[in-house]
Amino acid sequence: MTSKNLFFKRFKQDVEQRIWLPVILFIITFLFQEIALVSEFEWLRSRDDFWNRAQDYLVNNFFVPTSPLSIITVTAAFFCALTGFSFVHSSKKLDLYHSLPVKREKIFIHQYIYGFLYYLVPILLHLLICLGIVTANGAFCGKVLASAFGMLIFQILLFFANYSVSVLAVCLTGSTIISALGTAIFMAYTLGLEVISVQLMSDFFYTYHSFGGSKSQLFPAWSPLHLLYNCLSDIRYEDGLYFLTGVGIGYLFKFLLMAVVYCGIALVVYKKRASEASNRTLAFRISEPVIKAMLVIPGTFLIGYLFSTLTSYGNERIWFYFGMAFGFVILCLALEIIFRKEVKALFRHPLQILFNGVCVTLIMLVLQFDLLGYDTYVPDEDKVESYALHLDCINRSHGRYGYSIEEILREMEMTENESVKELFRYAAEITRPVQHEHKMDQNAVYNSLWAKYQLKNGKEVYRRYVIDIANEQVQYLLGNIYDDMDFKKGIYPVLDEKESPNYIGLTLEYAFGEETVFLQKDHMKQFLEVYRKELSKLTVPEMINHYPVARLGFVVPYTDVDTTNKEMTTAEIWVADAEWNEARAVYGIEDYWIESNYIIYPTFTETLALLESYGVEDKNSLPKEKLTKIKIADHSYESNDHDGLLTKLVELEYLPEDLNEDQLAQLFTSFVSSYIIGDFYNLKTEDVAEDIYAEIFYYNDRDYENTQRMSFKKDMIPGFLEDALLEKAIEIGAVSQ
Amino acid sequence: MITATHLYKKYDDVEAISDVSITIKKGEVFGLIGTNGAGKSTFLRMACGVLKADSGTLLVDGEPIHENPAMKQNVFYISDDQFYLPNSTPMSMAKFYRDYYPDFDMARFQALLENFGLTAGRKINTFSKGMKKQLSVLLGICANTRYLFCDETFDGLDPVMRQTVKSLFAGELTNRDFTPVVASHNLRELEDICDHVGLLHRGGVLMQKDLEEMKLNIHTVQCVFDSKEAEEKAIFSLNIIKAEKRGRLNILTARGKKEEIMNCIMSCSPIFAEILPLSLEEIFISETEVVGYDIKKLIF
Repeated sequence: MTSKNLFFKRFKQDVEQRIWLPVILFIITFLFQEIALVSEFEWLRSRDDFWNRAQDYLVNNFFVPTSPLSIITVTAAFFCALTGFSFVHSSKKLDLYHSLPVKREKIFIHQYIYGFLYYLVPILLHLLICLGIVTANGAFCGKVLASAFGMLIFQILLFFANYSVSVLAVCLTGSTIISALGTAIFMAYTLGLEVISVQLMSDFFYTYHSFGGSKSQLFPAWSPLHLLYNCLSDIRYEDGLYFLTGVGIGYLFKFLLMAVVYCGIALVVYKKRASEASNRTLAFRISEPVIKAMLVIPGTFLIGYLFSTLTSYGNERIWFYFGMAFGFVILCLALEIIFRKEVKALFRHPLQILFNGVCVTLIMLVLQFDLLGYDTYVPDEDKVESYALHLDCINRSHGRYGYSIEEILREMEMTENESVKELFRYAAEITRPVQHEHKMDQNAVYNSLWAKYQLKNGKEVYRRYVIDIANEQVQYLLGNIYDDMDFKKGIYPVLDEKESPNYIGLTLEYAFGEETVFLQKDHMKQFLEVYRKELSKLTVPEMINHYPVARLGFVVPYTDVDTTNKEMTTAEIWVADAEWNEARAVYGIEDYWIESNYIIYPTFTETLALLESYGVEDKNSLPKEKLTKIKIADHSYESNDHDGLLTKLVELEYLPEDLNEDQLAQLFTSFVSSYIIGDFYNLKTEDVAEDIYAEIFYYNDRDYENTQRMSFKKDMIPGFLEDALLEKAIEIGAVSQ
Repeated sequence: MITATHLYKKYDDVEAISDVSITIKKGEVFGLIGTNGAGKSTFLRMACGVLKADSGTLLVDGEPIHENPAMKQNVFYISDDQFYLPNSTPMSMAKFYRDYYPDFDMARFQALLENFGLTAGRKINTFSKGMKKQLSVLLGICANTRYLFCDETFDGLDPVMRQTVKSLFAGELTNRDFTPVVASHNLRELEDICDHVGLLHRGGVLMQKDLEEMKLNIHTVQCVFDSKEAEEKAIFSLNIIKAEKRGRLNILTARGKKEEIMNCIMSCSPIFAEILPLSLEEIFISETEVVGYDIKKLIF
């Protein structure tokens, strides 16, 4: 029987050889964490409100997964694995270790645990020191401790996942350099596949929607760095206690599972690994064609993509194909040199090369010609649970400022609307011909349409289509969709009475000023009833035929405020700070946000009446005394000749005294504010006069000079103005008499 | 007892061991002789559990050795290039082995270190090749295992040390259950210590015999005949391994007992006949020449 306490005796021997590892780890951690922490506290002490700032820093910036400690952890995992298991690369060492009377599993488990201890001890020390620094600075509290603990658990599991992968790479390979390469590949393989495939699909599939850096779509996160990437994208910074949330705990389990699975595979590989494999690049010859395929196929596309970025003159596709061919040859050669240390070996595996080449070609054909029908894919209706859509011409900021497309689509579930289905079918048919084959209709107005199919099996399918919103049938379908309350509730949070926050006030933005109104609870309730009713009845034709009156926002305090018995006051936002602060003091508002970008149309008569009753002033026109001047620019006489742009800009300038009341009224009636736009605004582009703009100089409510740029409604340009512009054009020679 | 039956081991495209069947009895000193690349080291590695045979069986005391810690406790392996832990000393290596071999005799080890002139606290990486070999033998002996596998261990030892080690082996053989298996090219040295030899060539076993029996059954005769007919008769009647002629002097190497060979020669009425003793080296060369391994072709 082997000596008892063999684990501890071997550990003592191992420490004598690898003591440098935890020492270096501790030093590096100390430099990047403790020193940074002390430095930060020094800065925080020079600021006001130290306690809150310190809490915020510790919970949201220090004990977080995105700290440098994660990089240190991943690096430490690799070195612990390499130093602990590199003996498998030496036949001399294997002669010793494998001749000893101890099972291979025991050797593996001992080495595995030793490596973990070399990481754990410095990290625990580091954490204790950091908490000591926090306590010494008077910033310690339960929340900080919870964050620190959560961070520790996360780092340990992150270590395990990367460590297990690194051990596997070391056991599969035959030298330090190949182990390092193998580790890098294993750690990030599925992430790399994701990046390459996202790029390819973005380039080749016209309906593909990239999620812009959020979690994976195509490949499961089977690599530690891929999982880390998803984790950092997914977890929300809710009071900094990420890993006490459901999502956070879920990721901890995933890291743990990954660690266990890869450790298990590494153990099997180690056991099965022949001792004579210590001189080979790969321990298992049978894995060679598999690894080659795994590297050559995606690598070819990656190199092709890199080549395509060398140019931006329209030849990207040609460069892409050239890069692929080049990359394929280079990768095959490089791998042969790595595995066999000779180039001639390349010709001994023609089948391998052929197989990889065929795979690359097939994938290329699928991408180039959409052989699998990605762009035209529409799920069967009986497989779809609900639909959601978003259009370019819908202002996505209705109370969802900063939301991504997928987050917005998540707020919508349309189930019974046949127009949605028909619209998606139409969109799927025309998108590829329009984008790929450039079969564009000259009279079309193309808009992007994002579609989401929520399938009954739980999957979500996203597409980005192109539709012609000038098409009458499309407008009809859009009208039907817009009339659906499921759609409206998806884009207008205010319509969802159950989910609406506690609104306490309104902000109204007009072309030439803003107003803020705080309302008692009952008044707000009344306003909401009226606005919701009129918004629910709003139709697409109404929006096409009318220009908005004002932009409406709802004031939402961060902490609940009871406005039951508050006196109603009106205050003009940004006008008089004293009044706004007084209003805030009256209502006890510490901080707030605005659920903004709702629109009031002329057809919202009851809403407008209520606003008038509150004393809200319509600021879409200006009294003469506020006006400084109006400049009109007409670019319709500009043309290009061989020498470049030939400018014949026709400009007019009016002072207030140059215009009578009637002329002023005509002007303000013809103006279109580019600031206050409603949804489906592109449907109205034909209504706006091209090339003619007005710049209005005026004094705002704070008596500061302000400028506003306006367009003109087509066919509503005042007659006097048209005459004046023509006269000016003749005068400067832009047009002959 | 170690029993190998139809062992087969291949490294990529190279057959290292092919259909090797060997029996090593307890208490005998077994010499594993072989040409370069014969498979000696491979066999020893399989015997101590480092390598696993592709096919065939290798049993140590009736049990397979691979991944069998209980059986490995009875085996100590000294490779041709022994690995020592970095920055280790003889004492630290002894402690290392003691953790795996509970019967390790630390006191005896320290005494032997002194006898061999090795400093217990000196770093092994400052030792010469010979000193490292000495140390490996001392560690192996003091581990008190039943089997000791030595892969070309004697090659790095000076003549005095070789004799000392042989004495140690002899002592161990006398005092306890001890079976050393020694792989070597140095046939002259093996001759003194081994009582059983196995001859490997290109992965296969050429022969496995008791050394004395081997010597008893191959003889070289120098003889001169007065006629060509007598000469031919003599050659025909013997189981000739090698025949050489220098002028009228015939040097015949033949299988058979000494008396049998002499009777055959004498029946042909030689002018002169004399039996010459064969060294192990000469037997080895003769046997390998038969299978085409002509040392002269390598040298000249």
